[in-house]
Amino acid sequence: MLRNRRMKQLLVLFMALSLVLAPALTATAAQGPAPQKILDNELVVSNFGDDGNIAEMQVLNHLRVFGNGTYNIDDNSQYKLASVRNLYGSEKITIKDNRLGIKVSPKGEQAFDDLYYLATLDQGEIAKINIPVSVKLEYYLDGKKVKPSEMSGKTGHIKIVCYLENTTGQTKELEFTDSKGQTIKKEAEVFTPFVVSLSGWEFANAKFSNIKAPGIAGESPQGVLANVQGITQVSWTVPLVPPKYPAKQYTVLEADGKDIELPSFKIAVIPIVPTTSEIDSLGTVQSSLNQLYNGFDAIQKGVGNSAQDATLLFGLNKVEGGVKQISDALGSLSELLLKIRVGLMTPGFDSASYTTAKGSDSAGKTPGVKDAVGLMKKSVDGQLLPAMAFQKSALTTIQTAIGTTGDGAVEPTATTSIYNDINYLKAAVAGTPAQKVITDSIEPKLQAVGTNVGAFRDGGNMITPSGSMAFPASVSAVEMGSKLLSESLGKTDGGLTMMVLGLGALDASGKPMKAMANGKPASILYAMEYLQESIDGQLVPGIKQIQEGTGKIGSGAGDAKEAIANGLQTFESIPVIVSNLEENAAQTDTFLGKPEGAQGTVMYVFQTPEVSKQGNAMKYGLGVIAVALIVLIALGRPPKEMASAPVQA
Amino acid sequence: MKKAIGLGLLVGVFFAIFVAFQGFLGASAFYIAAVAMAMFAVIGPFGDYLKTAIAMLIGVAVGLASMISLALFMPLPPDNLMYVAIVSGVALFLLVLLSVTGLRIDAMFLGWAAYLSAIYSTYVSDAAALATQAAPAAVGVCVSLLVGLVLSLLVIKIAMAVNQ
Repeated sequence: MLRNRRMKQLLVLFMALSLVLAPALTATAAQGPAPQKILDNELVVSNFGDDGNIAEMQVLNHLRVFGNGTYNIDDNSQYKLASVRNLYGSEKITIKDNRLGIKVSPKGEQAFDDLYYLATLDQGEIAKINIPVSVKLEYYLDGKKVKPSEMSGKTGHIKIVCYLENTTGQTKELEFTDSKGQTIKKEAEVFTPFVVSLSGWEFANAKFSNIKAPGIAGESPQGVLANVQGITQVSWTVPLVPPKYPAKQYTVLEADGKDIELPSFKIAVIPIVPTTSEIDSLGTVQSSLNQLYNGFDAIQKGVGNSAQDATLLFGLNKVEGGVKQISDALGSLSELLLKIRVGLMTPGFDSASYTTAKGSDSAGKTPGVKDAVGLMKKSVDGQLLPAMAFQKSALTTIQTAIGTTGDGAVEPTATTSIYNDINYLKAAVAGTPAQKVITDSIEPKLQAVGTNVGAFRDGGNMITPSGSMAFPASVSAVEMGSKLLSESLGKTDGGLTMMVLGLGALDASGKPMKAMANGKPASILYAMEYLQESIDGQLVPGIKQIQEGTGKIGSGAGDAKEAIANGLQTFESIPVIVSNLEENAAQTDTFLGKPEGAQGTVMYVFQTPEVSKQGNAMKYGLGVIAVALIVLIALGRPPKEMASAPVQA
Repeated sequence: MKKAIGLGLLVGVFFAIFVAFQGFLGASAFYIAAVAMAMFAVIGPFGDYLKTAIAMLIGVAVGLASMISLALFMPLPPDNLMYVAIVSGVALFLLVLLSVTGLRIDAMFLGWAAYLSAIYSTYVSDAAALATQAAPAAVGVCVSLLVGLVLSLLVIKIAMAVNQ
């Protein structure tokens, strides 16, 4: 009795001391030495509901605490938690104000302690959570969008599309050095790199056939199919790592299914900069782009501008100016030639109505050179030469009237020659002084007149009081000269006609008429006009078009240069981008939160709802249970007489 | 001999039909039905098969509660043998306590064991899967046990009729 009493006293004392010392002991533990290192690995598990939205989120957290002793780990949670459960240990985890308190005691040779806890997020928090990679699934049965549960037990063509999007893009200013050693600052959207692994999607061959996982370059990666022991496994690896891979991609799975059942598929999302065994040809491409840039630079400089000497545009500008000058000169030349042409032959001049007194035709037009030559020839041929013939005829008549010294002395009449009359008169006055006068004075003079008339008509020597002298200006000589003049005028007219024809015909308004032969201009004036029109209408516009085209080549080369420069800058910025990606990946080390100073990693897993006939099986199973119970009620109860029979001793 | 052949064929056909439709009923552990059939040997021709069935169902319910306790409130495998032992001990203790109400202890043990045999491997390999598989497995085990019991009843009834 006494012993029991002492025991009770000791127990009361122990409890009292515990109450007093407990807070102090707890505080000592909390303020104790910090662990050497804490690793915090999180696996965020999101379960999709049948409606395609995330129905439940849990975080499986693995804490590895290094040290030797007992430590109170204070783990933050940035989301409200519905529950926390220590999965593999018995250490108690407390939650207060979204802070998790865990006591761990690493000991022994390992000098670390592992703790796994499962935190379930409050339902109200799920909608607020901004998951870095958006995952959305769509199910189709025979082309119609359905809920996963609606596929259960059905037969048809299924299609499952998984849309993935990296939503972590943030505009950031990158600073790097380009190939010319210049520091470049460039704004770029930098993402946290995530690789999505859709692996081990299993389809039983007994239920699914024609399984395909097609891909589209730049949009959707192709899945890898492995048919192993009656099950086709489909896997995709989707790097959501801009700029090398699109931030938004999707996967497609198609199959013909019967009595459809699908397991829960897992979609793992890991923040990582993937290292692949791909042969890196970026260096070669960058070198080629540099050469291309230099080429376009040379083109741009060669094209230049109209004010820059020794450039294509400058030269074309000069060519255009020169061609315009040629055109102007051709215009002047054409006008001058037109004047020559009009001077040669007045358009519409009527030689028949030309009067010398007016110096013009009836229309008042003055003759051109050719017209004048024509008039002159007409005058020579129509007036001068006939007049010469008449003069010669008159002189012949005079010479006939004079007669010759041998003309007989017949009785003078109106038709007898003067010599006949003188000879008749000399015979009549023979022997008289009158005969001597006739013989010595009249006959020599008459002979000289006759000779001179002949010389005047046909040329020869003319007898003068001082003697005989040559007389070149006979009527015959003038006539011959006039004929020669007429012929020359005719040739001149022909030559002028050829000149006029060569220069070209003019229309009534005095402008050159179109004359083509064998597709070419057939007159000088039209050729000039044709040439000017060609220059003004084709050559100058052509040069302008060449200028515009060349300008476009220049601006195109400039644009290409800019684009290549941007591309080169992209290449040159790759190391910086990769460095930022790695930095972002390293910084993405927690979802829920981690103890202060802990090294964290985080990984996301999305689980699709299972498509099974289990619900129906449960219904049928419960039905069978009910039926079995009814059968047992009916047949399985002992006979009443047996049940009520007294126990035999 | 002929009667024995006919009886055997009848039971065999019934069992084969059950096995053929086990997936349809969710009774993946169909072999449990054979164990339940063996109960006719201890229940006898005048035993209370209904009470045995109820005891089996209670055994399954305790097994389900055991697994739920293990999965939700205890550390998970592999280093949790002590907790499995405690929960199993408590469960069997409960069953023994319940037996004082007149329920057959053997049937309750059978129900408990049948459920654990169906689900324990899942618990060890993937405890999270219990969230979706625990209840269907309980229904499947109940179906197997009750079908086995009904078949045992039929066997005993046919045997009695034949022997009379």
